[in-house]
Amino acid sequence: MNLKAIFNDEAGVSPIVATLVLVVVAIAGAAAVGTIMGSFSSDVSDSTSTADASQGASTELLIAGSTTVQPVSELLAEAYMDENPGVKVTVQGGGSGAGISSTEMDIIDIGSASKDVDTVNEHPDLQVHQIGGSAVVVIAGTDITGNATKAEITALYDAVYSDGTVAQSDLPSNIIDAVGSGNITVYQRSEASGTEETFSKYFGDGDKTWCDGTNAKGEKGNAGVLAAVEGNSQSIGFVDFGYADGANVNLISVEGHSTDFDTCEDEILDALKGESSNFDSGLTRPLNYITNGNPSTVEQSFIDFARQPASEEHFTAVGYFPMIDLM
Amino acid sequence: MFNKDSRLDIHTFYKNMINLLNKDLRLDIHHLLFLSCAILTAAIAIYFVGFIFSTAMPVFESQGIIGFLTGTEWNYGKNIYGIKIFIFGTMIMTLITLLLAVPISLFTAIFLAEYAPSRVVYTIRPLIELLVGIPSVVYGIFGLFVLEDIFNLHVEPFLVSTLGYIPLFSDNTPNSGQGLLLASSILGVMILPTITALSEDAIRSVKHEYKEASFSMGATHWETIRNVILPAASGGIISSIVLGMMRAMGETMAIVMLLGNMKTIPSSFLSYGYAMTSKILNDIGFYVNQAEPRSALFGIAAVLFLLEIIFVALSRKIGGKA
Amino acid sequence: MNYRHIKGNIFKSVSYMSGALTVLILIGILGTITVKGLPELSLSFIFSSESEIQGFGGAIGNAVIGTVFLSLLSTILATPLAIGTAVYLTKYSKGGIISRSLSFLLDVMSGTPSIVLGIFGLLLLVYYMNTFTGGFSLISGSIALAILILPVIERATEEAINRVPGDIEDASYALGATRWETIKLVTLPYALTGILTGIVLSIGRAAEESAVVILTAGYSQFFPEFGVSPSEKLIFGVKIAPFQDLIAALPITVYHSFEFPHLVSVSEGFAAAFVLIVIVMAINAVTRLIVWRRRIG
Repeated sequence: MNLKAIFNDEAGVSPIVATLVLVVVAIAGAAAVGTIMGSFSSDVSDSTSTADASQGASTELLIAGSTTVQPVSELLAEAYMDENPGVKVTVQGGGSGAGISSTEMDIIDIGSASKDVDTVNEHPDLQVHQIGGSAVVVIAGTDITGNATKAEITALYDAVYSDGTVAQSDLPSNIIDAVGSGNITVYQRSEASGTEETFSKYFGDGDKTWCDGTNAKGEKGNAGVLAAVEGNSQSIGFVDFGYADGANVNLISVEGHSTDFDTCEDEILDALKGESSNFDSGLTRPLNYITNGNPSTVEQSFIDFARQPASEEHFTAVGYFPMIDLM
Repeated sequence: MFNKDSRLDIHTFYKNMINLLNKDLRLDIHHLLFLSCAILTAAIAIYFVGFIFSTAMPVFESQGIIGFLTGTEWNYGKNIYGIKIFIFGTMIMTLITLLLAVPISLFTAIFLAEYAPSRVVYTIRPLIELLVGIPSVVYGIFGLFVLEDIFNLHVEPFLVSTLGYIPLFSDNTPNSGQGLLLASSILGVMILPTITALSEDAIRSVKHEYKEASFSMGATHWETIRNVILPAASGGIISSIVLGMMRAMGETMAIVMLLGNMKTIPSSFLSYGYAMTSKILNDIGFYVNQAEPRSALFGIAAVLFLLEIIFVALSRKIGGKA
Repeated sequence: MNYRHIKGNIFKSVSYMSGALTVLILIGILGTITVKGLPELSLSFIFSSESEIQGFGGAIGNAVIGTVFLSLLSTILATPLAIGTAVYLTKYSKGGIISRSLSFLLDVMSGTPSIVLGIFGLLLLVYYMNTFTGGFSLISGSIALAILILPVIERATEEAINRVPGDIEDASYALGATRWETIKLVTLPYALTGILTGIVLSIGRAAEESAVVILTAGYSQFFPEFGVSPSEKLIFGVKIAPFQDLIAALPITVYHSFEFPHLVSVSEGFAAAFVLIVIVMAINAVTRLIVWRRRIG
């Protein structure tokens, strides 16, 4: 056994030293890259606007929660940081439950939830701030048109077979399938979500998880359901109105609201404002930010920013109604 | 000079300390160090297992273990949690994955170990190992954005038109390529390298004398493989399959995207299903702040974990470890 | 040519076809991802943070650095423990019931579904220990990943130590070396390449993990920052960035293209996937280099 060769070769370095060197090099490399990037990025943002540099330089704002609100928050955060370069707003997802828990535990500053927050019994410390609204509409593939009552839609979802479809005979009497034969696929959300909770509560007579118990096929997110219905002319599903608007799908009228997108939008706005409307307010829901106790100055400033008229574009870009339309 | 002295001092001090501990206190400090590493590792592992099961405990108590395993209804509103559909979804999906992956990986292993010239082996083996390096979330978007269309427009219609008279091949979701077959195909590719590499090792480790004896009896190469090598390597091959199976069962990201997420027990190769891992990922973010739903989701994790422990025990038994 | 030879040839060609199919699958997958991702790839896409680009998505620099941080830190956390445990199991333990149970536990850990580890990290590290970890953070993600890769390094180290020829260790003992001296001067140096291979492999494993990272590290549009700032929420009253700060990761960016298909284009997802694969493969290449050097040596 050639002992000497072993020590002369790579093992000439002790393993501990070798590991340490590896670790140090790795950290140094990562840190160097990070710092270069960091200084570069702060250069950019500094040069874009130096007008408002008086604000606290190291103020941070963490926003997390509902994946439905996440894109809006991120767009709002970008715009807010352009105006207030001293504040760093970080946005992440996690889900509504995570948003509520994280806010309560002070892990984050502002939580977002697309579900009801019980501030009376369960979470007495939390404060809810509405920043916008949205409404759930029933949509259908291009071959299917018509209207239905609340009870008919409930019956339709309850009738879904284990393969995620219903037969022609299961369709409500006023819903017409232009093809006239074959089964119709019915979609719901695959993950727990505020949109589905609103839909379930309305059609399931207060049961927030009714829809989850049907056999309808699950798709991820509003965008997933919309894509599925768009891609299948014989299908029915539900999404937030902002997603359906402009897409290649038909609106199904529920309890007499309009099937025209523009008219329907006005009806939804009326419903959100609490005025009388053909659109049943049971299918509308608020988009909420939540804070633990009274919001701090920065938190309040961000919430105000989200509610101001100029922020409208960030909501419409993602498909929701901004606060300005609701006041 | 001064430096050297002080270093010497530290060194002597260290030596003296070791001697003190070793000889006077009968303690081996290095032994102690490694023992504490092992104890810490064990503590982490035990705490982890304990945490999962204790968080899941409330749901087992409220539903009963049998009720939890065999119930078909999962309803947060009514606090009824049964995971039969998810268990079946995971099981059937894993089974189809194995049906697709085992033959291909086994023959690839035979090819690499028995037929291929060594130059080919040295080119192909690293390539196969590259398949392990593709992250599961990438497999997911590949399956969803690339394969889904192909399955929907070509594979599924073809299967239905040729084998559609068999109920197992009926396509009850004609407008979507998602489903068991797509999920299992992707999973199959994911576990293929595991099974191939480990089976190849097992085949190669069969003693050369066995092979030569078989040849000298006049057996052909294939007969030798079939009757001598494969039986001798069966332990290693089976444990490689068990490992691949565990990977398939535990996979989350790709399955969430591909299986269709429908709460029914799949009735054909082309229908949708819902896997245990998907249910956890889909709902944990929404319900993490509510005790009972959270416990129910941890219940699924506990069952999954238990299945995995059983398979680990099984593969160790086959692999010859106690 | 009789029936037996025909049968042999049939199975031979099946084996060849399986081999070819496997290679074709690989080329198909890598090719598609490259083709779909390339249009989006540019230096600014890879090296800018998402916060610098208007709108949702648009750049992955923050995620690239986040992935590097997460995988390195988790490996640094796991390595000492894993090597220590492996040395104990191979050199000190007497192979009794306790060490066999530990070995079984390690096997269980190495097969743990990542989602199970993910929700464990979410509840324990992010929520219950938030005053230490800062909630969703680099350190939460790294600890969870460290638990995931600990068995990988441990197994690799154990195997490398077992491959050390017994006679050189015996020679060391014969020269009067103690057990520790033998481990330090003979066993570990000899097993070094094997251990390094395990460590590098585990860096790759940590980099490609998604379910755990999504549930523990959160996400951030910014490059990591460095420094200590006061914070009332955390223990000791200070927040140490980047450890207690949110961090992005490439697998999350890829997942975004599935989660928000109307905001993040598919090709962006594939471009992120491409970069992720390149990183993981570079790490694998390093492993290969280590093994190759060992063969030469």
